[in-house]
Amino acid sequence: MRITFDPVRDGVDALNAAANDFADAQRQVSTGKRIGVPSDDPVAAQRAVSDHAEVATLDAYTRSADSAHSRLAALDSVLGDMIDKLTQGMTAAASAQGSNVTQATRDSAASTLSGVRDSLVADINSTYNGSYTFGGSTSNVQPYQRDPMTGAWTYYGDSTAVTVDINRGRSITVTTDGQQILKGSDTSDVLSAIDQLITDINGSNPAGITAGIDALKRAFDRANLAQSRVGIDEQSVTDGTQRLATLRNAATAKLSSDEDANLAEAVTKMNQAETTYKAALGAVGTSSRISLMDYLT
Amino acid sequence: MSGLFLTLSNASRALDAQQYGLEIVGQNIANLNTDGYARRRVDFAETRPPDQNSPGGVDILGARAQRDALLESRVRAEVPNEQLEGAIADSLSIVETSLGDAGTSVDARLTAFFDSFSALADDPQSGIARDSVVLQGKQLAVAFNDMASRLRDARAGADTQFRGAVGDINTLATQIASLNVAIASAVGGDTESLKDQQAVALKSLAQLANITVMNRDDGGADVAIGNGRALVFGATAHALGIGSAGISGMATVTSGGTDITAEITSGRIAGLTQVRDTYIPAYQSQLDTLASTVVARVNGIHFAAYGAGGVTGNNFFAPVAGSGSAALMALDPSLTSATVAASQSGAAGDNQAAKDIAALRDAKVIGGTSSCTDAWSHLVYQVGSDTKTAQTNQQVRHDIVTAVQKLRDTASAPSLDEEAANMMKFQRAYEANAKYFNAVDQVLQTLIAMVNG
Repeated sequence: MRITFDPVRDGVDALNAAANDFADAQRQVSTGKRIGVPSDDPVAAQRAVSDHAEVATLDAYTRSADSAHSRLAALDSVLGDMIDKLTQGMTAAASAQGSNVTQATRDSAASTLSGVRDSLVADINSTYNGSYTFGGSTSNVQPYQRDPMTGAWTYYGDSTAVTVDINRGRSITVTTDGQQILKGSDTSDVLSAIDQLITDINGSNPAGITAGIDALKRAFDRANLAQSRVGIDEQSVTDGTQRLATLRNAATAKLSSDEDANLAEAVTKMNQAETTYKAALGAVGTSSRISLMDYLT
Repeated sequence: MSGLFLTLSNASRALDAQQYGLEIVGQNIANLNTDGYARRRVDFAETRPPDQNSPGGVDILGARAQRDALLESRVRAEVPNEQLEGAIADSLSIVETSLGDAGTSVDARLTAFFDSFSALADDPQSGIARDSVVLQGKQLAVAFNDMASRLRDARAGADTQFRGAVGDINTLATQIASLNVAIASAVGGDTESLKDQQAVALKSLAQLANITVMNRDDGGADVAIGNGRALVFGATAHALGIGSAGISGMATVTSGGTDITAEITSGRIAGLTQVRDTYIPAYQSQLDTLASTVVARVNGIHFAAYGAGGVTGNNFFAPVAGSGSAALMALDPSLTSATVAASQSGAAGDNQAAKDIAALRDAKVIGGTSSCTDAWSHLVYQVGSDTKTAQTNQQVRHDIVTAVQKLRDTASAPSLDEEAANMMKFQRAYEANAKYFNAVDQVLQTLIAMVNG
């Protein structure tokens, strides 16, 4: 059979293939990425898009969880202060009970209760990042305000619980219905009750003082309950954050397996490709030099 | 018995013959790298002696090109499919690079956009969060615009190549028609070099489209394209025209005023047509569906929700639908940081609308089965898969073409070793004939000396 040997034509394909393998291995080593373009591995490229989105989503939930935790910590602190103040108010009111109470004691109790009321107002109207946290979803209006004409206390918030998503299907309430703490199922809020209590102490009305102390006690119980719930939510957020960290590690590992090059394998491939490339170059070079022409004289 | 002068004459013709053989070797070596060149072989024949007692000499019958019409037609048959896949692979390689890396392209902008609403949900009264939402919305729209632009450019690029390829067909058809004239008018003369050019032109033509070649009795070639449309008939080249396909403005190829684009089923033009009219429009459609869905779903929530100060009834994105959605995607002109809506109830601290928009990242909003990220990842997969398939097919076709080309070369291509051997053969024959000529000449000299002496 007649053979037409064309080392250049035959060698170019081999050179191209070897050069392509070498360039691909070099790219993997230099970039650390297994996939340069989607056609390198369409399925892995598709998974990498989802993996990146999953990592980003988990990061977003983590940021939300961190933000929620900060808000809950602020709520916890305020509720703790309210509990202290209510305890202080009950103690002051109790000191004004009885038939042997002096006017000075009554004045002192009334003064303390007035301070407690003002502190409670400050607490219930506290803000976090400029938003009122005890007004439900009405975060831009001071929740408790006293009518300057009548002296009556009015709640301007609402009972809507504002939640933040800290994971898929998992949300945390980050606001509190202030009225639920200060009033609950009572006929009037504790601020009005303190106002009445001060009047009753000044007027030596034992029944009124007892009713006022009871109102303070019920508010104390509601504040305690609210703080407990916040504490549980804080713990839940902490647990959720840890779970998010675990999920992120898993997602990152999956992303890495889909997208990242196995460097040891890539370096080995690069060495192999380099050897093949050199061999192909050598083969073309050597075969190109061989010809019958060299042997004719 | 012949005379010495006849013997001398025979020796002289033999020298001419070996010299001619050497010249043909030289021609073959000179054309070692000439595409389409068919090696020449010298044909000699013994000269009929004038009588039975006289020696015969050698005559040059000519040089024949070692051309195998069957193998050359096989090359022409395989080349179009290789070129079809090559055109698809080349064009889609550009498309896939324009998609960008995972986590840095449209997918990243989608994520950042939904993240911004998530941050707004964390703090619905934050001005910074509102500004961020506007910024991310704008960047998302720009990302879609850019991607649409790149796909549009890729499609326009394929169309430009399509037009160029039609022009190349016409140039080659004219060349083949001219060669037909030259071959027909050179009857009796050497037409082999013209046939080499003809073979190259036909192969080049086959790279562009599916053609049918019919050999003429005079050595020329008639060529039909598509479903038997005359392209070259004898000395006449029937130029193809370029039409315009409806509102897309994409080029069509016409023959005698008839649109024959659909008849071009292989070759580079067919590959470019597939890229331009099938692959890229499908990608554009997916991108438009994704863009219009994002716009519709975000607007659906945003329009009914409340921004800062209780404003409501505002779209987030300018409404778009159908084809061109990605290219036209933009923020609603009325959107400002203050009109960004996070509240469903109107209460300033309500974040339900922001949460609902952020939750769209996971929602199966595309056909009820895919999220936005799923849709983008599917587009990435589709482009990657199409490109890889075309590259694989191209390699397979390339291997087939290479194998057939080697078979053709086995029959027709000059071999340096063979030519070296022939060169030595003719050189030695020339030397022998020269010595024979010298011997006869010496005999003549001796005879003349005897006469003179």
